[in-house]
Amino acid sequence: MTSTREAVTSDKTRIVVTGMGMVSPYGAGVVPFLEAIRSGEGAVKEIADFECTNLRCTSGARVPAMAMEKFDNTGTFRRAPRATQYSIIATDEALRQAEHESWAYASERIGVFLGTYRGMTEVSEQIWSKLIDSEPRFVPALLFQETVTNAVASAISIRWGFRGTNYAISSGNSSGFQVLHLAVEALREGRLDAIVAGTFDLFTQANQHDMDDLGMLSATNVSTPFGVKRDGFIMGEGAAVVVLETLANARARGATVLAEIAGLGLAHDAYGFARNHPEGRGLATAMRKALARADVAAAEIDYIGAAANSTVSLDRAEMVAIEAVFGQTAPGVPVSSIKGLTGEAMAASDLFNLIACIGAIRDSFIPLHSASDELDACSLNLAGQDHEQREIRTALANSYSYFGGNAGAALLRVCNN
Amino acid sequence: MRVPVRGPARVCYAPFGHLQSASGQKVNAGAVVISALAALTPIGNGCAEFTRGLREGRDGVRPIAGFDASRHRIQRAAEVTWQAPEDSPYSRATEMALAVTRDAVAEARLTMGRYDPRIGVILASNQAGMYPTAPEYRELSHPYRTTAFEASRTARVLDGAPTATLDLIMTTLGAAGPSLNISTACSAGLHALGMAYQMVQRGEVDAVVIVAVEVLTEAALAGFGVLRALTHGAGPRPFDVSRDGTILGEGAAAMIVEPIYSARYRNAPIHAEIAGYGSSTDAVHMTRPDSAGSVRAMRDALGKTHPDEIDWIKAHGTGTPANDSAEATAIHEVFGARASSIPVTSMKATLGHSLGASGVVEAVGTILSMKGGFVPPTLNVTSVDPACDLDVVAGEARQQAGVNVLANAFGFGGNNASILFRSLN
Repeated sequence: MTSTREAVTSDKTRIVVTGMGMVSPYGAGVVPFLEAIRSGEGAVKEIADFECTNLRCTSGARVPAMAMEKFDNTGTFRRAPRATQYSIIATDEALRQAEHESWAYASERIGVFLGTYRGMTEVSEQIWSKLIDSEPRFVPALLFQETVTNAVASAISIRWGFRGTNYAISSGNSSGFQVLHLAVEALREGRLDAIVAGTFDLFTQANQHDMDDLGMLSATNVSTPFGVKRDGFIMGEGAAVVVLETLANARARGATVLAEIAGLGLAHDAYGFARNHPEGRGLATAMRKALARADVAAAEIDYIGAAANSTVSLDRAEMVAIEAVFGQTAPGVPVSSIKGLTGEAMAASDLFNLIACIGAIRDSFIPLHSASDELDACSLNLAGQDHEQREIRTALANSYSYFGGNAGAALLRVCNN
Repeated sequence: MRVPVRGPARVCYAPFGHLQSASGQKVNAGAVVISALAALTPIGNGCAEFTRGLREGRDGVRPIAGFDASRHRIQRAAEVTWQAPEDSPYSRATEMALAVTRDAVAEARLTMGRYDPRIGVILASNQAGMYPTAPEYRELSHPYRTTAFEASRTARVLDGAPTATLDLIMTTLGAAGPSLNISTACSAGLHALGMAYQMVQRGEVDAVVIVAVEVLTEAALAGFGVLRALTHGAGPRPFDVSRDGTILGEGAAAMIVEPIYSARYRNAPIHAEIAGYGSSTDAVHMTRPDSAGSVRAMRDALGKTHPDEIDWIKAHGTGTPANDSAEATAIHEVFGARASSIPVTSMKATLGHSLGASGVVEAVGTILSMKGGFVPPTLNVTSVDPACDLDVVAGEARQQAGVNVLANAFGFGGNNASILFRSLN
């Protein structure tokens, strides 16, 4: 696979990850996250930091309280919304790994592309509360400017002085892979030299109420992707970021390459409002596009990071879509969804999934598929506790949601030589 | 929609006739064009009325009628008079977005409704269907809503989610390609155009439907109020020496972006070419603009087009002291000695500032003006700020050919986007 690939593609159009960082329900850092998904440590707990009276679903995978001054003692940072704080912590980790201090890239050639489903809802809620319970004139100006979806991307560009293109994409759960796609194309076309691409998504008490009332959350308080008794998802949250550059540039500066993002596919179910297609046609299209763009055959994929989040219709549709794309090879590919452990962190899940796949490729392990009950009858090779470990050279990560936006991302291992 | 596939179609370029731009330049066979325009604006619904309103210099700013604004510091805005169907289960914003989408698809002669993964949609909006007023927020959102909402309101609650408008557009059209919602505050609209331009250029899709929508919300009215960004006068006075702030507005607009050959093939209108796109970030301050960032966006949009070839500029021109000064400085930097003689106009005084939608709404206005051979007036300007030193088209519309026109959109966070439009014969 790699020999033909390397023969036909130039290192200037191959896009690689040279840094990653995150804040997840396991706290700050990629290491605790990867350890947890490797060993199968769940993050879903009874929600303690807000009242869940009258709700069926009282569980969530929250980011634990952290001592923020440990990261940065400035007032600007301490006063920033959670979304900004977490994204900055994740970016800092990713940039350190990518050794950004030694970069020779012009600041105009460094972009920041962030995706999010809920954006700055946590801040907007405070604005509405001032507006309704007090007076419009008591809305705090400095807080209002944080309500724009691009507030986080701006904070990152201001903090590090990155003056290239700055995007904030808010189109549902697949916003994470959407920004990766935009970033990969911008780098391939030579419009930028390096991009901080990532996602953030947090949930609030109001979100928990809305989702519970809409019947989307698990009434049994269990996240069990592909499980027979699955009855809805459990919300998770966090922020995650990767640093992307061309393989040529990464090699030229002697950077350690974590993985190549060889292809992304974006599609939409276009089926019904807030309803996914029963056979996941959009997801199947997205997976096929990602594989085609990466020039990798389905049979060459060593691991699938599924998007399944314990929702009856979504998990079923993803199963069918994987079977459609992988055909006879489907039963042989190990599949797992980390959402049994991390909950559904909306757009942040895209990058959680991506980082899990990068970890799997780098450290050759299969993220554990944790499901507490029997698995739905399907031909998928779900990687449970006793699953055989093997070398992972290629992985496909999926993204899916009830708002129909779908994406697939194909990753490859790149040798650092 | 069925359009010829990318590869062969480029070879088939010649039979469609020898295209030239209005200035006689040869048109690139790979030109990315706009084959439909649709808009709902405070000065007219539909492109014919919108054009008339721009030419006549209609003022869209009025006392707020959509909700009780008596508790707010500023009680004027430029609202869209278009009414959503009363029995709609969705938000007014979503209905506006669907209305302009339908108009655009009809004009471009696209046959839609079937599942088509080659059509993408890019939505530019900050708020989309999120609850716009305190009464609606109180009815539907926790903690004010203490019991489950009524079943009849389910669609409205779903539509309050950030991506619902986009999902409804995709579902209505059968568009199954990339579905992006760009939400970079006030520059979102032109980024949507730029992304569509790039997607079509690299052949990722056959066409992109761009939709923009923003309705007036109490959160924005209060927020811009406390930021002291709104004018206390009847309307904003962009680039005027006495300018004291912008005014909020509403708007919806849609465009279809595709390669020139597929538009020709379907005999669809070709309104203009997207000839360049620039995007940059100031990386200086959240709300204080820095001209260096906008200079880079404008220069990137111009590309190989010489600044002397630009006929007029559609400025971001919010009417706030800081924005207009920084934008004027940037124009001087890019255009040098010619800066003070290039006609510059801002539509914010006419249309208000429709935030995420403004880039697309004003782009539609720009193209309609180019087609009409005029530059629309910047309302309320009596004395151009000598520090800005620009040829601001004030008072009434100016007859002026527009072959190459530059449009700017800058936003919170120092986020900048510029697009170069070119007329084609």
